[in-house]
Amino acid sequence: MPDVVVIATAKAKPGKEKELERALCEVAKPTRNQPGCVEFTLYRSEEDPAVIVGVERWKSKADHKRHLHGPHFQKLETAMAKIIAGPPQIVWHEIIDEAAEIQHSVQIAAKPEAIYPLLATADGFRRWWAADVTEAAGAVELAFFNRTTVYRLRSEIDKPPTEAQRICETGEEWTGTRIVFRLEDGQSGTLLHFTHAGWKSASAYFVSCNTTWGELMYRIKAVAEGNTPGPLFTSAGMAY
Amino acid sequence: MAELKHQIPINAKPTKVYAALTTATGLRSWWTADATVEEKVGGKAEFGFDGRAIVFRMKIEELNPGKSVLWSCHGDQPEWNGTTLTWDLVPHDGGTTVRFTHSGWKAATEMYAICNTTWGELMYRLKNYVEGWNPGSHWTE
Repeated sequence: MPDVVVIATAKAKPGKEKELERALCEVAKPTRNQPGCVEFTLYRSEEDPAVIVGVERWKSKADHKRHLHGPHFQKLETAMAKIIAGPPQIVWHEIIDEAAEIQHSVQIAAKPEAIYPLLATADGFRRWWAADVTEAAGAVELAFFNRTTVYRLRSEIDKPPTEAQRICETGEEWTGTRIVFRLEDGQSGTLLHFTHAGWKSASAYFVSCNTTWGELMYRIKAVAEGNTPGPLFTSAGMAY
Repeated sequence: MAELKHQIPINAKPTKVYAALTTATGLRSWWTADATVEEKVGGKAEFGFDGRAIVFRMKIEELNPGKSVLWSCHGDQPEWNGTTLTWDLVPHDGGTTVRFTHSGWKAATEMYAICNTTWGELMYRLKNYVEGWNPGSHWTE
């Protein structure tokens, strides 16, 4: 279940602006300590200084409702009754997924025909990505850290030597993501374009994977140019 | 506006990672052999590549020993001009998580994607250097 964001707006009666601020500041800390509260921040409107907005993020609507019925909020409601110009507005929001994607490009001194098998076959993956790669039921499985992480990739598009597209079927954050290699033949070699699309959000793991894909692009380049860097991931750990 | 974000765990204390980002010896050991840096806020850092065919000129905006480094990039490379580079060092399990952000790109261009890839490789090189594996610099002149 994704978090919910609540935006609550209250307007003070003329002359009661400071009192409203004090009442809200008093509940800020206890609210942050409520179960399921991720964020609680107060803002004053620049356009109308009598207006204070609370931006709250909760693990669920139920957590927020429990807070509304809890002692801190009840106390606040009583205190606010005399100082606000009208009933406070409380609006729930869902968080929009950013649909993040990773993009890389690297210049390789080799023809697309020579690079393509590295990007589309289990044998190819073993030379730069992971040592533990197996083929099963029309898909390729890459295993990491003694198989504690396994990514199963199913072929979506195979257009040698210009495009290979794979859908990932496993992994908490990788399931449903799409890995795309595109090869552009140029005068001084091939430009390899890489996209890992369909991430639900730009999480910390997304950022770590962006970094690791950068290192992997250079390993693909090294193999294609005749070097033997070996796979970044051994079956139990990482190689270097 | 676009930004590049990277993150890598390094098995060393933040002070060791900080030295790799703020001293000429450190920067020459993983990024480019042609690196000069003044170790003070307001100082300059220069990074030359391919026989100075390209030079990135930085101003050192912030230095928080063992914690963070902030550079701003000036001149020469039009796509890098006006960008900022932030290194945050977060202690983690006796080691350090490096969080790097290269922000202020005007657009996500081809150059942007190429730099993203190279930053990824450089993060691993930085890690290997700080952990004592002597990977050498990405650019040797």
